[in-house]
Amino acid sequence: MEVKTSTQDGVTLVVPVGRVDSSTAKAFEDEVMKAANGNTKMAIQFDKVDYISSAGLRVILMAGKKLTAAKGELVLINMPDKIFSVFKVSGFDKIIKICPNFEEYKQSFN
Amino acid sequence: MTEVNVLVLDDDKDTQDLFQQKFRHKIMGGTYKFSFATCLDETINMLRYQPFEIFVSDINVNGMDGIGFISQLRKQYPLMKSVVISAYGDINTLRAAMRGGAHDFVIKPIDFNDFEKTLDKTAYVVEQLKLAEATSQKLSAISDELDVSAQLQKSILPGNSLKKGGVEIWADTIPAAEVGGDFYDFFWLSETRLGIVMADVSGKNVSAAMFALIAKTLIKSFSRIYSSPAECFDNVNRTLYNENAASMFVTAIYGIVDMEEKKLIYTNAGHLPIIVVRPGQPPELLECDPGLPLGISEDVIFVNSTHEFAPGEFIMLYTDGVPEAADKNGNEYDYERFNDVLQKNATLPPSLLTTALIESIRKFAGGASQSDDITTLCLKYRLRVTPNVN
Repeated sequence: MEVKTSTQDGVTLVVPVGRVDSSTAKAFEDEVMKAANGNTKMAIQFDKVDYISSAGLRVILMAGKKLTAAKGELVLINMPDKIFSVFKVSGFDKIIKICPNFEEYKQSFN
Repeated sequence: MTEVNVLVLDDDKDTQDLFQQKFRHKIMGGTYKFSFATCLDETINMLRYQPFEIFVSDINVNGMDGIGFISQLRKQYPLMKSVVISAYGDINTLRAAMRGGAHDFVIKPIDFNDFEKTLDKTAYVVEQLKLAEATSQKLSAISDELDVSAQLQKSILPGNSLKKGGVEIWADTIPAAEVGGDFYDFFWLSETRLGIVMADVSGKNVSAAMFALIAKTLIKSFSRIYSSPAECFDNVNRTLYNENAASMFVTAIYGIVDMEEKKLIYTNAGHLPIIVVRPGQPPELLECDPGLPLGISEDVIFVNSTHEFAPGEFIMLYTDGVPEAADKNGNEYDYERFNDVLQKNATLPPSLLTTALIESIRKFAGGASQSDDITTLCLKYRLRVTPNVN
């Protein structure tokens, strides 16, 4: 798994590529938490993620908590159905904002 | 680098002074500390009472088989390296010494520049060896610890089976790492009420296992205080949330089999839905409000759902390791195969049904390494069918 991080229109955009399971969760955590540091607007793009396990969900939860504490927001975008079902079945869709894509997310704060 | 202890065996007393003089800077600087022996007995005695990193010996000390001694030392002190000094320049003696286990050699008369380089190089090798040894010991300690944790974890599970009053359970867990984050539980709350639990902690290894232990204990304890599963989870959740700095969480289902009412009352904290299999019908997921995993937020309100047992049916609780078991190409086992096996083996007792399921997953994975714990709990409730009296 690799993680690409960039800044677009004032939003930190994190793009994980591959599987986020317990063997890659630590690397994912390091990248995501580094990206969340000192930022208030962060989006994680999921269209290149094949699989996310509970260890990956934990990283999302930690990033969400960190951004909320900084009075910011974490948004998940471009989520394939298969990944969305993981969020839905665990109730995570209720605590983390999910947007169809980056454009729609941008409109929400413009 | 710590000070390197060098033992020099030489029957010529002048050698001592020469070494002390030539290496005085490195001795003062704490790089080397030299000790001297003039005969074999003295050497053996010194080695017994003090650890040395390097042994320097003249191959031709009076009355001693130098090569034999060096090969013996190599076996006895594998972390100590020997450097031999030969006055001959005799290539055969040196070759025999090297074959016998000497690490390096110098020729008499000693060129102390060359000798110093030889010592430095040997000291470096010894240091690397010691590091490797320490790492290997640490790894072995960690591995022992994991074994203990795995045993501890296994020992807190209630065993695999339960059979009483028409209820038959078979539960099993196959951890992916040495210590897994999945657990199951079943326990009697009264003569007619049986609690069942299936849970999956985020992550693996020792931290997940610790969190699993806490969650399991809390669920069982609170189940005795709160008779409603949802109320039990409300309290487990709040307690876990308040004592959870690492943002860990656990997805779980807790149900009570009520044998008087022939019902299952259950609540779900973000866990995969229970599967119900009735003979002759496709398996069905028991949809319910999934709540949120335990330990994430203080403000979750859990709700109870009810399922009425029908004759001949069984229920399956499981963790994501089952549908998400992957083959070498990353394809997932998925619900289609899962349901298929359940339906095909619906008439088997829970133990054999579970065996058939695990076998099917193994076959599908085809040797791909298991990335998540696989845990299942199959419950059959044999209801006596009341004859229809008209």
